[in-house]
Amino acid sequence: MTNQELLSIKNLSVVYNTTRGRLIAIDNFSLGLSEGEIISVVGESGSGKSTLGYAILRILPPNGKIVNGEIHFNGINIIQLSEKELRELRGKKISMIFQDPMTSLDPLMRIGDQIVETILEHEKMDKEEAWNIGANLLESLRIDSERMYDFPHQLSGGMRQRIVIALAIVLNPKVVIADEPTTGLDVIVQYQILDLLKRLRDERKISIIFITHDLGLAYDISDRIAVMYAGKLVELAEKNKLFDRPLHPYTQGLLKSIPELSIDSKNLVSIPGYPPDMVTPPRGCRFHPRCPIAMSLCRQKEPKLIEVEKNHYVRCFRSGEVAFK
Amino acid sequence: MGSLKKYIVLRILTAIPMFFILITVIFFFLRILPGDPISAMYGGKLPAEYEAYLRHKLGLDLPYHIQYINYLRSLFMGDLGTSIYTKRPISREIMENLPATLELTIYGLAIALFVGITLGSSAAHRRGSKIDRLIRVYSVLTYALFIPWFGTLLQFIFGVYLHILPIGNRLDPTVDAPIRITGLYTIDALLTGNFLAFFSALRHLILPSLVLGIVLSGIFVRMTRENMIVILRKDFISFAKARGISNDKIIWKHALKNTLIPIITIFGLQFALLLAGAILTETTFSWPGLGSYLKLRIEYRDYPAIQGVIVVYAILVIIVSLIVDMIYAMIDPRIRY
Repeated sequence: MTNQELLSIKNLSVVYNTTRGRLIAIDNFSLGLSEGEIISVVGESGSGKSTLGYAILRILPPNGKIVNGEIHFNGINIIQLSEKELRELRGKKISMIFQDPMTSLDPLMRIGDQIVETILEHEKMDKEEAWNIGANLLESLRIDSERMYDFPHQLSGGMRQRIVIALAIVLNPKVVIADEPTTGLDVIVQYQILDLLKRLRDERKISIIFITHDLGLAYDISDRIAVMYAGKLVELAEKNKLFDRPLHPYTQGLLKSIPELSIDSKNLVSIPGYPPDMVTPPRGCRFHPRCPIAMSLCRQKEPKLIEVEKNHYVRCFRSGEVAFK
Repeated sequence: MGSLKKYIVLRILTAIPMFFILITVIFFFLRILPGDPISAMYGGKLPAEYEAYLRHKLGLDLPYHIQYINYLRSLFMGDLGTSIYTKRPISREIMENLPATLELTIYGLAIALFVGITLGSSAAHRRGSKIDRLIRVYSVLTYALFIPWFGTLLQFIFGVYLHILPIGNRLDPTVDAPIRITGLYTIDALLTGNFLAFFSALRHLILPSLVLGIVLSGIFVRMTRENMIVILRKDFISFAKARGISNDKIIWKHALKNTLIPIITIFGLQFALLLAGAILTETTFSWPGLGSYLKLRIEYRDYPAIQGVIVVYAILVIIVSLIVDMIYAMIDPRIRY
């Protein structure tokens, strides 16, 4: 992958030790993010997409472990950083927005105090100065700075998520990982949040990894889309290319399952079966039990990720046939 | 805050029926139990006719329901009655003994909370580690501790064997009590600058408050651990980590504050247990408080005294649960009354 990448993930593998055994959440995953780029990581729940965010910031739960790979940010390998160095990285260089705005804020602290806390953890200044920075930031995000005095429960879901975004970017990080930031918000608010993220990219050159299960949202916000299935990257392409010519049968299935108001709902198709149990994943291609075009090779051997055409990567033995059919 | 006042009044009103059930049960239990004040004090030493005369004089020969109505009448007037044993007003005797109990309870509680919260938090964020297991064993052990046994053990080790701490009473016999302001010796001694009395009082407090504190700490260890484990899984903890907040701040500020809310609630419910523990501790350490007073008066079947102590305990529990509710409202912005 190219040199001007801000964040590059190489061969990342993450496992969770569960009571049932070792669960492989992310398996040999690689991805590069350039400055000002928005990449969506799309997949079903359990595909490892949230784990990816936790792994990049090294905030995996205690039973989670990075067993292989490298994560380079600006040339530094995050995997090798000490806890102290990681703390300096978190929030200041790379930041994360969580799924549920109702639970991402400390319910017992005023918004302003949480912003001030974040600033003072990284910068030497007095409280008043930090408070002003917070208030100005809220204004620049078109939020009334009086909200600084509010407690989280006094705000609506959409407002909370905007506050969470403000908290995530208050230290001007280069990368923001947004983990399903619009789940649970109504559609209008969803698009307001997407617009806010796009504006941050445009105005502050923030690169965004947008984690979602919703291909529609992914199309709206991103430059490139990475599709994950059962811990593996199965397809990666520029968004229009992915929508025009999806090459992996899983991506094709996902696209067919997007509800569209303009299209007759009879055409809505869901992918049969369920995502695999990641403690005992299927042999060969992980998607083969649900794949409409699986052949005997798919049950035996795992396909490699190949660049089928320029900047279009697919992990499927039959991508060639699919592509040129 | 007008609605807070309304809430307090409501809480007191709902406590009244509970209060009456309690004093009614105590009243009749005392009289149903074998023995009465006269036989407990003079049993077999006086002619039967004289004993009957004494009972008649105290109104103990009246039917129970008449005695009960008389009792309620005087209680309603704020009169706890006169001791059968000492002939002194119960309210005065209680006021003499209450401060010692409060002082012991406050120190014991402080130790229980400090040990409980520190160990509970440490166990929660090291969940599954050796330290966690050790702390859990400690918590279970304190459940099994019987206060008189544990107290006697500490008395033996620190008082008899090592000879470094007193094993009973509130002050050395050579030290005069500080001038009474609150009745809590350590506070009164500090307020009047009487350091001799302060250190003597503090030394006497160490063993009994340690016993009470350690025995009660197990509950707080378990409550803190369980609650903090739940809190540590919340998104706002992960988000705090993602913002680069240090681990110490996450545990001791964000997680602990949120953990304390359920703990404070449960504490209100556990306060009665604290008082019960104090009774056993006081009798073990000859601590001249309400607990020792109660035990002695039970031996003499001093009905008014026993009833009086129970009334005071009930009022204490009601006051504490009100204070707990107010603290709750203070630290949790989501609570509005």
